[in-house]
Amino acid sequence: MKTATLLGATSGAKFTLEPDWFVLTDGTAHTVPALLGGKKPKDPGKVKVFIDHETPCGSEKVAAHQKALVSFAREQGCELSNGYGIAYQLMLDKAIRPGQLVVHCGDFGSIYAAAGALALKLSPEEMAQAMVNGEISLTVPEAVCLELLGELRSPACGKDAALSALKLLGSQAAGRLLLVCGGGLNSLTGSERLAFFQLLSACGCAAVLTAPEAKADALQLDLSAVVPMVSPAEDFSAAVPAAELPEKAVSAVFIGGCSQGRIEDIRAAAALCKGKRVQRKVRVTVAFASTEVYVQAANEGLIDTLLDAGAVVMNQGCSACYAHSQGLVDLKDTVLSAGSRPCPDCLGSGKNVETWLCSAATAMSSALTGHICPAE
Amino acid sequence: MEKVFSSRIWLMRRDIDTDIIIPTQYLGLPMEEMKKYVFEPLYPDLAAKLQPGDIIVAGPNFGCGSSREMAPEVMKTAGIRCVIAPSFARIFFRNAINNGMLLLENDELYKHVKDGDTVTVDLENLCVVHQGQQYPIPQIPENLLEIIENGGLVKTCELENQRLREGTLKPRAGLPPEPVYTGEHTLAEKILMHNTHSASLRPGDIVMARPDRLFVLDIYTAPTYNKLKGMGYTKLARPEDDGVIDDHQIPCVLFDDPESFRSGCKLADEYHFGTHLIGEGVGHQLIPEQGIAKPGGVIFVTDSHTTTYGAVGCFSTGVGYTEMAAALGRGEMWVRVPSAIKIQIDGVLPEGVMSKDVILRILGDLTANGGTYRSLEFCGTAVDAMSVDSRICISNMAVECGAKVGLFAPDAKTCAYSGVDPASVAWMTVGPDECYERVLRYKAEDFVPNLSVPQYVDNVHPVSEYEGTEVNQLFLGSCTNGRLEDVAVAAKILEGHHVPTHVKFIVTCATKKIYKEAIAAGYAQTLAQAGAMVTMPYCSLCQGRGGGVVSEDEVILSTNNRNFLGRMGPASSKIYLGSPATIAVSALTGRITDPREYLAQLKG
Repeated sequence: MKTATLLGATSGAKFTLEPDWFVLTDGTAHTVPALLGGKKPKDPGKVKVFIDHETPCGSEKVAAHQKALVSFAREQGCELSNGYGIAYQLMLDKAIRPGQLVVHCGDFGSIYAAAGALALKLSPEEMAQAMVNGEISLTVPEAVCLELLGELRSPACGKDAALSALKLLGSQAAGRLLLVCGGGLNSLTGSERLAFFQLLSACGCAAVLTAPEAKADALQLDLSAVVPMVSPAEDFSAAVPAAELPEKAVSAVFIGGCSQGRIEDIRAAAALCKGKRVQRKVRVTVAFASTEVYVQAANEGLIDTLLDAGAVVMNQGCSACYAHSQGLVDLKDTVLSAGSRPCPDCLGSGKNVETWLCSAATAMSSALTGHICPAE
Repeated sequence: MEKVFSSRIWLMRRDIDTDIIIPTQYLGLPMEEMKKYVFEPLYPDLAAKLQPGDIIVAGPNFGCGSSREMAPEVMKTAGIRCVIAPSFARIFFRNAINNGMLLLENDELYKHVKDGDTVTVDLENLCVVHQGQQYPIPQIPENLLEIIENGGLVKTCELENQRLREGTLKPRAGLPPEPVYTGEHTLAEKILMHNTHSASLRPGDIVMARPDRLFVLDIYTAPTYNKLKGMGYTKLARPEDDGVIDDHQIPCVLFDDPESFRSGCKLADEYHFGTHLIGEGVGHQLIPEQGIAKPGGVIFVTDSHTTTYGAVGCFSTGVGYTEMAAALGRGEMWVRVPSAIKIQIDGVLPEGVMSKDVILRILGDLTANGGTYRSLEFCGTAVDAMSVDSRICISNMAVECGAKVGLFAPDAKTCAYSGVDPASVAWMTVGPDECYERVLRYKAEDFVPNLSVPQYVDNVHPVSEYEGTEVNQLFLGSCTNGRLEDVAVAAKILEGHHVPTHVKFIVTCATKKIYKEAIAAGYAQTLAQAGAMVTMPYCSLCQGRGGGVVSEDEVILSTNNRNFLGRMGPASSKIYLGSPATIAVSALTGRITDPREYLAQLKG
């Protein structure tokens, strides 16, 4: 158990670890095949390639990146997922086991902690080297502990808990190993747990792990006090209860992604808009985390409900959260997203687009009224 | 206007389509910026070399394809003064005239000149002179010359509105009483006779048609709005009959799309359009599906594939945005009565052959300009046996041979589909052979699964000739083949199978209604489980602005209607067009495959 090794170690200890999985995506790891410089991965069976960020592809440039990854997977015999959903979700559904170590180049590896696994973010250069060597070296960072107490109360959900946690953590976990523990952790449902862990990477920590017991100086988050939250995407310290935000009109809304693209999230959004219409000039995009979620949503009639409400229902994948190829916005837009972006160069023309993050439920209730508001 | 002028020429090939003149991804740019990309897919360096006053000499069918009026507008902005070619696609022709750009027809010149030669255009003596040799050009009709001399249709309408306000011009008279219609006629003639209350019309007659409905598609809303303003229209002639449809850019796929979406709302709200459909699906399917197009109607839409509603017996054709603005303001539009080609198909189509295969074969036989400004009129027992959906696929592609319209006479199926009383359309019949310029007869049993092979739509070959070609991406959808029967055939073939992982597979139903039916039947789920990305109903990859753009040398097998150079990626990418059955059977292996054998096994 690699995670156990890490939990028992003191900060500053050095380890050489063999990752169980090497995850490559078109969003962040398209340069890796070229960086291998003709060398082969030590174990191609551990390398998983995902085309998930621009699906379908929006530009010739990214199509070339995708082609490089597809060719690499074919040549090396690595498993390839070509438009079947978001890497995080598919890894959790089909590969990740508790205690495993995942290396990747993405921004939201904290989601794997929900399944008891550890994820480390590598640069494409480090990834190429790690694939060839089959191992990585790690210096254990200092730990900071977040203890969850109590239970979530409706209408608050996992995403609201994540936004509350990020507000609480501020910059205290930057560069550190974030240990999450406490009785509140066990009260979260599967999808709440995923939504909670997914966004924790955004606190700037080196890695996230669940821990069996709290340290003496743990920060405490009382889940029973969590309410529906919204946060400016680039500043979680400014997160506020959605009900307390002065009236804020929105023009583009997104529901989906690795944050809120699971069936429970889609159900929550569909329940709110059943028999209603979203505002005519608000562009609402919904997308699914995986093929499995898509099929389930179709079978449950949720896609019909969303279509009837005037939402743009897209396919599985990163969709408008990444927003290079669908659901684009411009500087005149105010975006409310149940996803996890923006980072620079995401969400269309980028950094200066006013973007707020929230849960699927808050996103849909806001789409119905045209301004940010929590679900009633 | 100068009557005699000389300039350097740029020599171009036949079938220069409007995607080559200006690729879709640049349409949102201001003209001064857009002109840097004029002719980019075919001549990447040309824009930088163009000089004001330059002339283009080209082979036949210049300006075919999309109705985008940015094509002549950007050419004019880039300094091109006129184009000389044996023939021009009709929408481009009207768009160029409406922008005050001169188009001259001569069959021979392009065969005798070299790129970089100088020619002299002499409008007084109606000829082009090259190295002492005179090449005749036809007289430009008076009504068109007036538009060119005004500098375009905007100025013409502006002057007209000014005279109407001053009282120096009287408003046009309304329709005369309905006459007794006489003589044998083509279906196109009959519809225009009913529309204009003309007792009899013949090819070449020019009539002022009174469109029943006028629709603007999203990518053209901003220019339509600007042209309406420029012409001085403060209201539309019949706004309750007019519509705006957002179908290319919902979801927004390019950075210009959000602003264009706002333009559509502004146009619809400020001019009180009776209909504004946002994200309901592809306009060309919504218009017949929602009964906006009906048998016997006349409809103009700002898109070349407007020919689609000919399937329900509607005289429908694409126009540019300037023409649209004038029609919206005036409530009428001039139309030259087209000659017609009768296409009679009798018998029973073989298993595995779809209506897509039929229209591809016909396009191959007619060639890309073989139907220019013609009405294609389909009949025969094989046509009678087709569903309305199958006929829609055929009418949709009629424009690919340059046709003005692609018509089917309404039958019981059409009347049920469009919700009309059969007695009210009993007059709508295909005419006897002698009314037609040409009659093509086919035996349905002779049809095979066909492909349109890169990079011309009329480059049609049996699928069997390309069997084994490896593909990188598959696309099932569009207004050509995004209907329930198309999705159904694919789902039946792919049920329980998975597309090879290295092949991308995109499925887009044409409208929300179809998509919901596909979900109810389980087709959408089956296709997703087979590896498909099932998207929102919209124009998707067909438009090439997004939704599955490919990179160098990649191969797409697609059910849509155009495989022009660079339409879905770089010039080196290749697009093959085929039927939903061909796409689905090819999806099993990732290689182009004739579907007949597999379908026979499936049945057996």
